[in-house]
Amino acid sequence: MSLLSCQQLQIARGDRTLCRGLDIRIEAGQSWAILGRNGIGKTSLLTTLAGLTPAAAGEIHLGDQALATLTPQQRARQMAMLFQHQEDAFPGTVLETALIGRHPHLHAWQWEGADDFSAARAALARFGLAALEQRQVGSLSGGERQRLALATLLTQDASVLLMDEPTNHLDIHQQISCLDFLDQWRRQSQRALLMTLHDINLALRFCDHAILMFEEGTTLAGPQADVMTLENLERLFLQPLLQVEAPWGRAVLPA
Amino acid sequence: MPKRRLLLLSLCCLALITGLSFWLALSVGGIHLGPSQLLAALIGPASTEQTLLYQLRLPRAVSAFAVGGLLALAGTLLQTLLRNPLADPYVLGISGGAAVGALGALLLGLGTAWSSGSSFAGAMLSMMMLFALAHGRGSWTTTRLLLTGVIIAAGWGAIIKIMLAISDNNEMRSIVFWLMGDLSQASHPWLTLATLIAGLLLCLPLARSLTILSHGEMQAQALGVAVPRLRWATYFLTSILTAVAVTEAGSIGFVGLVVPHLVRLAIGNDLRLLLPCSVLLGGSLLLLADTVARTALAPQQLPVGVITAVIGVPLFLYLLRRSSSS
Repeated sequence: MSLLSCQQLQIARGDRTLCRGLDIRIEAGQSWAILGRNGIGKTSLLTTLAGLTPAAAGEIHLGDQALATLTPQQRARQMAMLFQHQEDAFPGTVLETALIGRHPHLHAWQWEGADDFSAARAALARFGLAALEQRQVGSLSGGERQRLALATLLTQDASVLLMDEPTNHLDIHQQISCLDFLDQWRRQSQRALLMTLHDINLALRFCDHAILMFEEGTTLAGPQADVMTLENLERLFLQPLLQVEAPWGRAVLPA
Repeated sequence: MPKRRLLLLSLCCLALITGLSFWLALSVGGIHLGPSQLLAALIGPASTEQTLLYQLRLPRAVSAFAVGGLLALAGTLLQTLLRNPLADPYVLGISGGAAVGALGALLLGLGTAWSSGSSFAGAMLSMMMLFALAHGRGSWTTTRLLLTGVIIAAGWGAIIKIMLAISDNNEMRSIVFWLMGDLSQASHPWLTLATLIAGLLLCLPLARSLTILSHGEMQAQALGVAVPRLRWATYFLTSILTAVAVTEAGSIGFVGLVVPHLVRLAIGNDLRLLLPCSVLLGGSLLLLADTVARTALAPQQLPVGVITAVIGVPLFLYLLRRSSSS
């Protein structure tokens, strides 16, 4: 059974159709990339699949249940989402911020217990933030804030992770180490990842499936080897590309 | 867990401050009551002092505390909902709407129940206009929010002036005092206190969701908060709290702004702590302000809104300056 799937999904914004007739089935342990040019609707696809913005048509299922029939709390226990920008109107400490990931697992009167604290601390440690736990969020650098958002996502302990530009603000070393960790984690604990990425090479290296979003709402989805061919990628970004062999597989360079 | 210990500690400190404020408010005035006289008047046999205490000072003190608590609670909710530390029911015209509602009912000669109801309608209408106009399709900026609120407040101010101009002059002075925020005419101390307690109890189970709302509506939704329902509940509660405060004591400014800010500085932005602590601090602050208002120029009484403005205006300007520089 797939963790997240959609049938004949159509998304519209104003009079633009961003995506039509999309069918995907994301299985446990898989990692999917969403690729496309700027402003093509990658974020809208993510927020629609996350159940945060309405679809124009089609069905979305989380596990074997229709997404629309779940309460926000039931949904948030199974599916988490990382946003491109973090808003901190009244910033607290790093640990407090990571702990908000436990929200869907607690009832209204419940306070975070020892288990919740250890989950948050473990997630902070995974992203190299253990020493910053008492720092104010406002004092973090862009990269640290991004890693805190990733740690908060991990604290939520969902089986499906939707991520909008997870490598935002991260330097090249952090990009690889964060994606490496998520890659191992999804394989070991059978989670599913779906992320938008600007860097085709990160998608080639860390994702086994891809959704390509073309103009006029056309999409192409499936296993990486079938979908992310050189011709498709050139057509997608309107940019001639050169394929090279790297130790971990294929990589592309702008020609 | 340390957070619950922090809550307990803060509540103990604030309970002490509240106790001291009540003691001060009940002691000072035209007739000064020392500690032993106060005790005798509180639990002793009937006396002039006892009448003074139970008929005048205690009801007024309870009103002051309850109104301060209501305004602080409304301010905390509004700041959280708007994700802006400058939000306050007075500055954004919610109190103005409530005042127009209450004054309208008063001038039409309708009873208290009507004036509370129309005051609530005015507050709710203000809130709806604020959210519809300031949110719009554009971004949620401080400038746009504050300008919208200030203009709504100015609109209500104009309506109030029309009402005053066409009303007969007998009650002019007392109405003007009430509009400036005045507790000398407060008449329903226990009802106001009951509203405060009920409001706080209704907010507390929402507190963790509200804390998460400060990270943005989409983020809150992704974490399982039913945002539209929470937003409506908060609109509704803030309007009721403001309306009850305004009906009891007129438009008192800046308590809803200053108090959450001070509490946040001390204990952070966890609403589970912020809500109850703001209520206690807001109540004590207004009680102290009212004690100053009725004793500073005695026998002349000042409207308490003047005292809160003296504290609130500089702080508001400081916050505005800090938020625009960051």
